[in-house]
Amino acid sequence: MSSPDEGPERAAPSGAQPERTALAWHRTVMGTVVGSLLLAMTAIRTHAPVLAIAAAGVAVYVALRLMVASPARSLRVGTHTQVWPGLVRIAWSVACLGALGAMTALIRVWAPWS
Amino acid sequence: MVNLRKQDGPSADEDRDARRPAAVYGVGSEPDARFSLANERTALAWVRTGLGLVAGGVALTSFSTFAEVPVLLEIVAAIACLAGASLAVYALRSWKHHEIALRTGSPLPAPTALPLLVGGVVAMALLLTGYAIASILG
Repeated sequence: MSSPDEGPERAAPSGAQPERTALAWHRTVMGTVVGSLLLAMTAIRTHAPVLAIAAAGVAVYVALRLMVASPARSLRVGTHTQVWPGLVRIAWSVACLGALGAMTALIRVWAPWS
Repeated sequence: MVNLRKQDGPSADEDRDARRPAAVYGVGSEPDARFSLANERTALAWVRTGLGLVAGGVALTSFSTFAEVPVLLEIVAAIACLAGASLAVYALRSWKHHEIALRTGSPLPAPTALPLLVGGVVAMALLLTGYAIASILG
């Protein structure tokens, strides 16, 4: 089945695809926020307040930047053309969490009294 | 057979120039939006997979705050977190290459991270299983 060749360069697709993509964004953003908060709590227990603040900062950034200005919303209203900025933000947020998580784990190796 | 290409118009060129990255939107033509959305969902799935690895590493670290665990588990936790971070960055690279392939009508690139991910998870599971058995027997 071929799509109609309409005037706009990216005609809004019909069907459930935009909704599925919006839900995928919701899952990813919520998972990142929850993961950030869990890492912050773990860092607190590990007596690493700087890492805890950094992890909480990632949670706040993702919540504000990707929940308030959500790519999912642009999918619902049919104006979803800019994919890359949102993907970069969420991917680097998770990468930052990974780095913070590795530092939290290794702190207990180098400073076992924590 | 689904038509992956759409005819370009003047408005399409102007809008393509405004979108980032230029390395993606500057080549080929606009594919079927369904395939682009599927590519986007695949990238998000990779990001979530990386997040899951990070969460596993954090869980191991959290567990170590309640009980005395050997250094090995801390190192495994750090490796899991770094692997998750790598997968999240890989998601960006994968999205770019797949979107370029969709726009140019080329074959989709193979998921190079998938065998590494599976091998790494299996290796980690075997390592932890061996450690658990050794702890029971020793």
